[in-house]
Amino acid sequence: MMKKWLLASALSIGVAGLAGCNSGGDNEEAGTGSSSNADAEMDFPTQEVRIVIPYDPGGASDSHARAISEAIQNNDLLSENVNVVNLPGANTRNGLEEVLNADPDGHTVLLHHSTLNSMNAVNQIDISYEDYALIGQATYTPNVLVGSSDSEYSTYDEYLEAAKEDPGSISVGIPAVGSTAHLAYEAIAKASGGEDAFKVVPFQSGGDLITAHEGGQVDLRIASTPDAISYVESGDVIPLVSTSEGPHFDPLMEDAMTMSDFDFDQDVNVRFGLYAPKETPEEVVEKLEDTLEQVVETDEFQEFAENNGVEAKFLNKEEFTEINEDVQALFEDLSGNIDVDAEEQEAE
Amino acid sequence: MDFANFVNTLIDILTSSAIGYIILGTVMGVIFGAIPGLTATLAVVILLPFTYGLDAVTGIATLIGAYIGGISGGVVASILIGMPGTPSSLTTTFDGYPLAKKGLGAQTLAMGSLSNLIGSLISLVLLILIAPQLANFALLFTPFEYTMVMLFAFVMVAGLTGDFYKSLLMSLLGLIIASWGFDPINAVERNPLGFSVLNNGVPAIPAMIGLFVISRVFIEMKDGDSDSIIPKVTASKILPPLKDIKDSSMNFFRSGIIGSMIGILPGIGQSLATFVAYDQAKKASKDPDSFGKGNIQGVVSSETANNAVIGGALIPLLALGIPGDAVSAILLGGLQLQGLQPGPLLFSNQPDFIIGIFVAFLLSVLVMYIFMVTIGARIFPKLLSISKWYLLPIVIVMSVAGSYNIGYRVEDVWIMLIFGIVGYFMYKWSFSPLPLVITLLLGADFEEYLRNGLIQSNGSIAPFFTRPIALLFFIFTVVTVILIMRNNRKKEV
Amino acid sequence: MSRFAIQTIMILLGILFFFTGFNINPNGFEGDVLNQRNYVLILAVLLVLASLGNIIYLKLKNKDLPAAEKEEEKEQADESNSNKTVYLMMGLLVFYAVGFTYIGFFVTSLIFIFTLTWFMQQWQTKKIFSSMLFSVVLTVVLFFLFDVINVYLPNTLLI
Repeated sequence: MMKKWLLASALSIGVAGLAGCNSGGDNEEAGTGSSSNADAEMDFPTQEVRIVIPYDPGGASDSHARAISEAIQNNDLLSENVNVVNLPGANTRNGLEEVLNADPDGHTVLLHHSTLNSMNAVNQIDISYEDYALIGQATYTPNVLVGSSDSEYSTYDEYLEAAKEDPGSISVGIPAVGSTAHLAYEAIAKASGGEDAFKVVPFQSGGDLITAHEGGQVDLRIASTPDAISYVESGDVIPLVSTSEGPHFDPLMEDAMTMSDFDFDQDVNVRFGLYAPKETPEEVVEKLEDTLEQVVETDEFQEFAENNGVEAKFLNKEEFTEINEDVQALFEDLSGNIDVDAEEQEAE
Repeated sequence: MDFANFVNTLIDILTSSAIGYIILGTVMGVIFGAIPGLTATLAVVILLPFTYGLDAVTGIATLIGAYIGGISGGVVASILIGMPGTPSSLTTTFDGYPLAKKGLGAQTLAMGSLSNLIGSLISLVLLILIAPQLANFALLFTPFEYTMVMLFAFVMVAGLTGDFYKSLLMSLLGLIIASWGFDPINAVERNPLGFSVLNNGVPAIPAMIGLFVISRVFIEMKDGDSDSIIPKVTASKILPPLKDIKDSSMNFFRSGIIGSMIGILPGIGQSLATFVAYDQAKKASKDPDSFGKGNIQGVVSSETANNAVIGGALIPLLALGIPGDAVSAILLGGLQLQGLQPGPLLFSNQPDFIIGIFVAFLLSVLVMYIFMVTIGARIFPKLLSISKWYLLPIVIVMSVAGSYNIGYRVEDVWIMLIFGIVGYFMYKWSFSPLPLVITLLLGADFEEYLRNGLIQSNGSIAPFFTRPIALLFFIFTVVTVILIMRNNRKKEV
Repeated sequence: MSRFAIQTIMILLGILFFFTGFNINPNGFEGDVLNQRNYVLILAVLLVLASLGNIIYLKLKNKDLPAAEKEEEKEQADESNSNKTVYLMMGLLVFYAVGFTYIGFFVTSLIFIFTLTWFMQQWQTKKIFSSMLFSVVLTVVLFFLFDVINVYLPNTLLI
């Protein structure tokens, strides 16, 4: 009887000890043992790096994060594993707060996009890009306003004219109130003098909006390029306006009108970037910045961008911060008639 | 579709490593489905990172295999221990467990596995033959139609329980609870009670795990003095008796079509399909009162429908690039990462991939069936018949792990716990939790469609009643109410 | 249970949600016909009205307390002992949830499984060892499982 007790206690202590050694993060030995030269100079990373995305698996952010982590691991850019963690919930707040409050050692970073700026501008969330230490931009992609190919109108001007004659008769679907696409539409409307001409119908997701547009529920649809490109290709829709400054990078959409056609000097693109907790040390941020730059230059990432309707374009920390400031200012300006004005929540 | 091409691809897959991955994914799915607390979606999410290094067909096929296996595996625990292995097998417990208690567990399991097979095959046939046309059918459903469909669902489920009026009250309460969290249009926070646990609202899956698995654990604790939950299982047969199969043929067909159709509609999922199929089977039966006490047709309708949803959900995904449910949204991401562009041109641009998926789907269904009737039928009853003292803690831990893994939120575990307690008391006070379940599942979408519809119609409620399909479902709703009230009057006499 | 207990609870809940509904921020994008606050308020009102309606309807029909309900009351008196078991189990589960959040998943699981298994076998001393062994084995299995599938666990004191 006594022996059994000892055995049980020994087992328990053994497990606890084993677990204790491993606490603080996983150190998988599989495969990525080679350390790159840069690591020898500084002590980062020392455990697995986690890219947090505040969305469910299967979306654009998810694909980006996985592409980045694949590129890092396949090219041995960091000496530790890079894993993607999906933290959906509370309207992206769960994921955002997790990185906000994480240990600022660079092992937990956030992959997010311009929606952070837009949601903040319409007051859906009180976290802003300034609460993080920006690392850099990975890709960008314009939003595109598309119309059905079997409609009587085929250019934006025609739609605008019809809408001005009979306000509310032409409807525009937006994927989510407070999304970049929503504010992109507002930008187009403002730049072309078409505010209040169209009727705005909000949906809950890109997929819902696609269904609605294909089913004829709305006349126009604003969407990010990935959500639009396959439908332009199949001929179901015509691209009317691209929210890029110059012509759209994709040959299928380069004939669409652009923001500069409206004398609007900013673009409203969706920009995907990496963010780190605010207190992360300079050298760590720079290391991550360099890694991101290398990732964007890899063939596989370029291929990923091509296949997914985005343009791989690295912006370093300063450039990304500057762009964020501009974008935030623009969004604040545009959100005049959408202010959700959520209650001041206890900052958690 | 080219038949020779199909056969060639079949041979290719069978002779390559792809078949190994398909088997792996499917078996893992079945295991996840069989364990209460773990869901099919979880199996797919876990397998996702492992499929990146594989080629497109193998990778997506593994995930589809896990999905098929997961939904199919749910039947095991539903029948043998009365706890739904996955939320999609909830309606199977109504008749499956009573049948098992009568000693018919093995036959019922065999029938359930056959239903899984047939349901999947029906939806696969539709997928192969008329996917593009069916996808266009899905486009006919606008917020007006969806609102009416869901209204019909709420009323129908309230009618399934014994007490129509109380269930309606419960549904209203459920809709209010479903409104907690963030509103579907403006994403405004709604948390009237102010508990931080409810910041994200009440997600349906943890609540269901609580209501049906955890509460059953409590019930088994209270009632049980016996050592094992599972009733005695006699020798397992591979095929159910031919007569049973013949009798069920209409049910197979009807439930398969219902499941496929509901799967095609983006946003609605297995649970609604099983409720509708169950309800229809009950109405078509000569002995409707035996449903809920051990009528095999209840099991057949439920399991056929939930498998049929899988193929149905793939239709809008492959034909239009629109995900039909949570798992197809993950598959969409998987497709994009493989460099395939989902959208209307997928069928024409990537015919090899499409045929590969069809073949893989078929193989996965066969693997699932073979596994379940050979190994599964022998091992699962043995595993589940371990002493209650060990089984229940395992179920609890798996439920906690499963709930947590949905979104890595501790709140979900608390929700599961709270609803476990709620479910226990509902059982004690002879209350059916079904209306609560259906409203939690569909409530947020119902609100979105209702409000969106009103925006589209500029505030008019006319389209909800004048559009043909919406009107059809409204008529269904009214007819259901009339039938239920007539039934109630009959019972009182 | 009193005859109209459910309906009364519903009425009270409806009133509660009606008044707390006013805390909901009704702002949003322009053009929203039925905003998020009104939706909840309407539901709350419907709940109250429907419950009231049900009570009135039942009173009008003047149904007698069915025999089944009387039996139920008798049954409940017999159950107080097994009720304690269930309540204890609920308490254990609450401990599990708290421990999971703050102390650590694996440590809490270890303690929880052991306690539960032992308790279900009526605290027999001879069952201590088997309960402990079972708990250790299950926890170790979970540990490796979570490691392989890269589960993201919350930041807690212990593991």
